[in-house]
Amino acid sequence: MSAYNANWSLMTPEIVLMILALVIFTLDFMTGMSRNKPFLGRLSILSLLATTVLVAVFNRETGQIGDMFVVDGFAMVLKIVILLGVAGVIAISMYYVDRHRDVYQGEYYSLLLFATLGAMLMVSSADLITLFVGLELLSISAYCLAGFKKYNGKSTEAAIKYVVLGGTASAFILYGMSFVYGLTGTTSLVDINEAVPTLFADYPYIMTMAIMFMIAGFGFKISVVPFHMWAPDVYEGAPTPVTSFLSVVSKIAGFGIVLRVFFVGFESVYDEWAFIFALLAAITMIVGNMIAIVQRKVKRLMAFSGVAQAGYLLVPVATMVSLDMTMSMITFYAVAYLLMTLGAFAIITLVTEDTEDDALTSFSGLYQRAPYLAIAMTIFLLSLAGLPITAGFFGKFYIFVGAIQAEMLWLAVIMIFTSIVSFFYYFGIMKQMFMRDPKPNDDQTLSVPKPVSAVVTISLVGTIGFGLLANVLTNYFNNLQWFF
Amino acid sequence: MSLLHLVVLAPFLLAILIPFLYKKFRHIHTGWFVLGLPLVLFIYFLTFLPEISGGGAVQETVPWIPSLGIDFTVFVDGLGLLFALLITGIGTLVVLYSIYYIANKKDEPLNNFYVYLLMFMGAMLGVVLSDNLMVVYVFWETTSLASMLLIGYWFHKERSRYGAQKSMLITVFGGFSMLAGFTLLYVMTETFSIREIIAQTDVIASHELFLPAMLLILLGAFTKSAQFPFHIWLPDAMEAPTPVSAYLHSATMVKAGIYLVARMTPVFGGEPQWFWLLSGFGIFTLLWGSVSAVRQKDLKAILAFSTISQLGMIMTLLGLGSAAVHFDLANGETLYTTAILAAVFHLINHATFKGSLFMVVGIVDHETGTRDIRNLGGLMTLMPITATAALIGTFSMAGLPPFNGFLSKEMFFTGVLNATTLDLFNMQTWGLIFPVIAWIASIFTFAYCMIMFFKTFTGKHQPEKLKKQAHEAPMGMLIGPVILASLVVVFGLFPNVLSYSIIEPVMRSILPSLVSDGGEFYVNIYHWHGPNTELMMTIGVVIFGSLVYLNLKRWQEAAFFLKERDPLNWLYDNSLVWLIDGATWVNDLQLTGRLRDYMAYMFVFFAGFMAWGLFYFDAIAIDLENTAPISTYIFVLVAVLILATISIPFINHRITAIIVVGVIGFLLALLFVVFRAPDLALTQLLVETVMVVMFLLVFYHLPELKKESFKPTMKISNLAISIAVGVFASLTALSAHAFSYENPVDAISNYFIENAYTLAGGNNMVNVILVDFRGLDTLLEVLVLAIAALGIVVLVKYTAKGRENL
Repeated sequence: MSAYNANWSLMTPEIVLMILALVIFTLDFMTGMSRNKPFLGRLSILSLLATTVLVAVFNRETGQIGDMFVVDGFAMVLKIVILLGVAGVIAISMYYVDRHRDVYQGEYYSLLLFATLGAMLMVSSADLITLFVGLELLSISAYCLAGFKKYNGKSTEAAIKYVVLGGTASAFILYGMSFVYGLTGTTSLVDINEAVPTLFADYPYIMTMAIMFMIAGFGFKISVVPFHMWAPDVYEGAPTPVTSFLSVVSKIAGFGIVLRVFFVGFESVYDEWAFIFALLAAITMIVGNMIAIVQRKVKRLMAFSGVAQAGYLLVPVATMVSLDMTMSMITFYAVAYLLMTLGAFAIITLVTEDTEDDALTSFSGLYQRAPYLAIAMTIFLLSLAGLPITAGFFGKFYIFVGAIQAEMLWLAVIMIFTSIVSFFYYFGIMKQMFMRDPKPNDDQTLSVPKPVSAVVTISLVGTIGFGLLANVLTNYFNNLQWFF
Repeated sequence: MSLLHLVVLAPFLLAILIPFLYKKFRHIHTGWFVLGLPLVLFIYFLTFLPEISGGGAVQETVPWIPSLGIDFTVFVDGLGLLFALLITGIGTLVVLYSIYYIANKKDEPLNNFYVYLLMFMGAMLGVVLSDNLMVVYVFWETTSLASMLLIGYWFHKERSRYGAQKSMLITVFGGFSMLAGFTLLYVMTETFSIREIIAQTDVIASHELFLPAMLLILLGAFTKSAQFPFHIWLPDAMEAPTPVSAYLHSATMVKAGIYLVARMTPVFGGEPQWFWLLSGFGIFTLLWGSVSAVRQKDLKAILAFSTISQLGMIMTLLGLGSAAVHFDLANGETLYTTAILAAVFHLINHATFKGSLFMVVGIVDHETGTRDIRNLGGLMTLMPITATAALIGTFSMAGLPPFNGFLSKEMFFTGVLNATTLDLFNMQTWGLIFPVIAWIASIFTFAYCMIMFFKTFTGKHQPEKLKKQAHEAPMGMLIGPVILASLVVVFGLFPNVLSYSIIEPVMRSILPSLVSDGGEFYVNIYHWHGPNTELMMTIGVVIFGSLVYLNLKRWQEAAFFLKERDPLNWLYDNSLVWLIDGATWVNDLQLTGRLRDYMAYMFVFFAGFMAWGLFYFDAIAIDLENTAPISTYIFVLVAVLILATISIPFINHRITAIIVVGVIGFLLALLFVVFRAPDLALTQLLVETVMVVMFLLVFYHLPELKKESFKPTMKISNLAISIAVGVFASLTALSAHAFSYENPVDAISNYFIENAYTLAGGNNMVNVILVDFRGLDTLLEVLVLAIAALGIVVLVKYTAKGRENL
């Protein structure tokens, strides 16, 4: 392969998004210091939607630039999920930044777009280095975003914690990758996959260390136990739309990287690492759900709910029967997760901003204040808890059937029990919404700004729609060529 | 989509309209809009009777998620139809009753009430009329949700919220287990259709997942049908408005578990585990419920425990009757089918008399303001119609002739007596337990029925203890109980109107294998069987029951009867407390919020894992023979490096610390020089310089470093962690080095040495790697740098204009 005859058109969506991001960035500092720049938000959403269309057009056929940048079914689906997720995040942000004078709008949007670019690179790369560059592009932008409320102590603290712990996690990943590179002499995942079986026989210690350190580092990015400590603090301190970005987009992209590395790069030694993922999934589900119970703040609760959800997403990784089926399960759940989490966060942003309080009690009497929001939130929570007839239910059920078919009964049992526990805390929010009166100093009716209600409605339609018509998506996924 | 599908979904469709109707016609009680639907549906379902009685079944399918084998198939057979009739019939009466029970006050959220109620009605129809297990599950959870919302309808009461949460947690737990059971069935048979699963019974029975599937499905049934020890949610569910209790928590929803068991009997019936679990848990629930009912003071609590006990009785009968599949009907073996017959018949009877009793209690509560039997009494003359309905209901429940309860109670006794003659499943040794427990439980049943009736309607009237002036209820409220009470009498006097119209088809659904060759069940119900054992047992029940009732005071002094609350609640309440305590413990253990703790965890993990790996794989191999010689330069550099590193923790001044960190970086650069890597050294020098300068600039603005005093334990543990990380990382490096000499691997640089010039045309390998081999990555790095640069521009610009704009 040479740079001259490579099929660069595969990168069109990335290049376009980068240019648009830079344009938005430039527009921002051409328009001066005035804080209210809603057009930038709209422009960002438009850019993301345009990129989504480009992804759908240019990434439909598989192809690659060297072994570094690949385009396949997996990349395309995850890119679309990520792009739409960020569009939702920006819509929520437009409401949020209006209320916060200490958030510079232009930088904010362009940072989100750069982070998106990083996420797109992550899911589209088949080379350890390219993958890491994408990861860092996402992470560094996310560190900045977490601390965006500059004069807020909690936000700053969140950013510092995130950057220090995130840096350590990146070091773990690099340490693990350096073992792999040292032994195989290549960073291409395809070549690695060919080389590892013999290496595993010769150097079990080094290879296990390599895999473990990568799992630890990636585990941090997708916040699975025991690498989850940062999540609640950062989620709590970061501006709420950024929290939704971290819990939706960042996590899905992180899963993308895990799947790519392990199912492409280490697929030939599946039995060596599957069990590690099974253990991680188990303790993630147990600890995540347990700790969520005692949270009194809604953003911290969502952090642990997100940790627990990551555990469910790891189950199919550990219980593969056929690769296509596993990918189909994970991606379906990722779509469901995107919809329900984003919808929930849109409502959380609105409610916590309106009551200026991020305790669970800020939801009290929501049913009386805004019945539509309360019902939507209930659907999202039911979906997160895995009750019918929501996308979350089918996603979880699908994973559950897979676990049983792979004869990992113990994992399936843990899934069931932790789901029941999860119901306990989701019920807590529902109890606040339906079974409490509004606080006396809150407005009796909560007016819903347009961008938020758009996100909520789309997520709601999706959550119920994919619950009712799950086969639309599963059929499509089942026929997809996942990896190049 | 057929009419049948529409029928199942009709309540949901109406539920969507309710909020608008509520808003638009605020002065009309919303219940009137609802009332028509169950009535129409009831009549519609009645039209199925001729076909179903003839042994037929109706089936309509709409594909839903074909790839997973999930279709929305509505299947009406005897069992489904019986439940559909109960749901819509009692539903009609309950809606009518609720219109009078819940007054249309200004801020009464009637819209919520009827939306939840309709949601429940539709879901319940879905449960009993669906053939696909996944669809059953979906509707099943919806009934739990609707039940939770209805229990919490008066959410201002703490007890309501408690009851709502409890019922939800227990039934959702059961629901998830049931789903797991269904999934196991799917894994065994690759279908979710009940019909198709029944057709594959022989495949399932020998499968290793057979028993887990059975247990999980039974968990679902037992939690929903309030079987011991999961029954504790039902008494607390009584916080719901009384029409809801009458409907959900006695007539329909709690019978979903019974339905499930009956539905699954063709699959699991005939297995000893199924037989014993059902009859064992059932008979114990019967006893526990009836004994517990005696100690209640609240009329609704008595009814709750009574419901628990009656559900246990039906469960027992289904368990005992499942043995029938081992016998051939053609030989006239009706010994065990009698139990199934009794179960079905009692199911109908229970719905009639318990429904009417709940409504009666609601009336008493509504008209007097209390349900406490200690404050009630002498209402017979004040509320004659209510009292009559109550008399019929309680006497039927107690098993007295000529009411329908007598007939099914007698058949129950026949069932348990027949079971003693069974020569299967170790029944030879244990069989006698059943009639004994059944008889004792019946005594207590008789006693609480008498308490209910006589303590409320006879004795001294105590108007001073009542919140309201007691008087007869309005006509609309009385229609429901009166209709149900008349049915009690009608079914008691003419039980055979039910025999072949509905009971026989239901038995066909439960035991299809017995009539597969075209036979028919023999169903003939009559009062007088001659002076047999059953009659003697009933007479004994009346005598001893009356004795219990007359000596109530003495009974209630015994320890078990002192407290009204079920002792098992202790377990539920405390397990929640334990869960929260445990969660708090796990939370406090790791989430301190302090960065240094988090870092410590990560490094402990790092060191710990390396240590484990080193020993597990026996990977420690130190071989210093092949190491390069250590020159004086290197020795000095490394010595200074180590000294500088060790000194950092002891420095109290920030600037000094930064400079020392910088020194370490510069020493590292020198080390690169010694190892002949000038590019790397140059880069390192530049980065290090910029970093130190920037740190100095920034830290200049920060306050003085606060001198913190740390506990010695913390210092020691930090020291240990750092030493461990250093030691194990070094060991790994040394071992890797030693290994590489044992099994030589090509150096990774060879590829670039060979190809740098030929492929990329460059002599400087590092440059070639950057701009050619990894050109794409460099491009992206440039992008990152560009972003950073732009960011700095913005920062500079904003500082220039100052912060006052903020």
